[in-house]
Amino acid sequence: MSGNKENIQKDRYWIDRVLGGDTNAFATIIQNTEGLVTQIVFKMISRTEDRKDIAQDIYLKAFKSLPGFRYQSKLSTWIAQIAYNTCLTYLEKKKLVLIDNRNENIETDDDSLEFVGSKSVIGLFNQTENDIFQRELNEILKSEIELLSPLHKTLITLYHNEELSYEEIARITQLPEGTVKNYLFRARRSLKDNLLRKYKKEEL
Amino acid sequence: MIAEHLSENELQQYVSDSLHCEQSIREHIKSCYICKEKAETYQILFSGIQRQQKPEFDFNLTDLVIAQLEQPKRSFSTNIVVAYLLSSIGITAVLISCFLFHEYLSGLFIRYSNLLIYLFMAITAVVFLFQCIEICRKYKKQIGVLNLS
Repeated sequence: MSGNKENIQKDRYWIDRVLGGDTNAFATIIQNTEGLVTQIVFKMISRTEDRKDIAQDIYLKAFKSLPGFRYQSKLSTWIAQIAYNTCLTYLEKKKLVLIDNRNENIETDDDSLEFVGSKSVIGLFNQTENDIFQRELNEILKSEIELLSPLHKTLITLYHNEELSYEEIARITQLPEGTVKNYLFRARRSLKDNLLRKYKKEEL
Repeated sequence: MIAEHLSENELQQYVSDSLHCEQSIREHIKSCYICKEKAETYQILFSGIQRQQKPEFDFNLTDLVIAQLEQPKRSFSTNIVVAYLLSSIGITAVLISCFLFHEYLSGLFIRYSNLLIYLFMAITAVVFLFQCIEICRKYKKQIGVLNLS
């Protein structure tokens, strides 16, 4: 709770400075929130050349709308919401799909389910093998995350990488908390199934 | 304790927050090798996601945005300076012309008859009046648009 108050006080300090005409204060706001915005833009927008314009657009919108900020959430959450909406508008304009359910119902048999878990649990690997396995896993995971739909990618990243709460994610995406949990469940399951399928295929 | 194997949802709940998930799920995981292994698969997946490198833009976003915020201010002040400068030059030119050619200008009024001067003044007054009416009409229209929006 005190952390929340502290955040609001910090946000208020920087916002008051920006509204007082100090554009350098806005530079600080950008630096404080850039990580989160970058994650959203990278996960929602696949075309590298469009990301630059979109990222700038997000902060220009935030700057213009700053007088209307009502402190109902953290400033970073509010800017992330602008980022998500801007990316959403882009996807709609380009007629791109936000959520793709084609890979949702892939079932994995129990043999393959045991495969990844068993390697580290039983301790078949020594340290070097384990490092190679981790590197391989990271690479495969990276490409598998890229294959997810923009919304699933974003939710996974906001929850697991940015460590945001369900409430904050719901606020950013303007989805009910239950829907966020449901989408996250599906995204993780889809990711796990695809990962196991990939491992099984490589083993063969 | 749950007798059947855990669902995917329960497994995810356990791995996300094992301390706060239901006691029955925790107990089942302790005693069921299959579910424990499935949970560990999720554990590997979750930590793998967390280990993913954070993306970064290959340009300085702060500089780009700040440059655009300052640009309108600069162009606005430049425009004002240019406007003032041109107005000053114009007024100075008119005043210098009046000073240099004041004899010709006063001769203009003496030479022509009063009727012509009155006609010229009447036309000027009518044009001025029409201009005022037009400005009023435009002003009312713009105010109406603002009120509607």
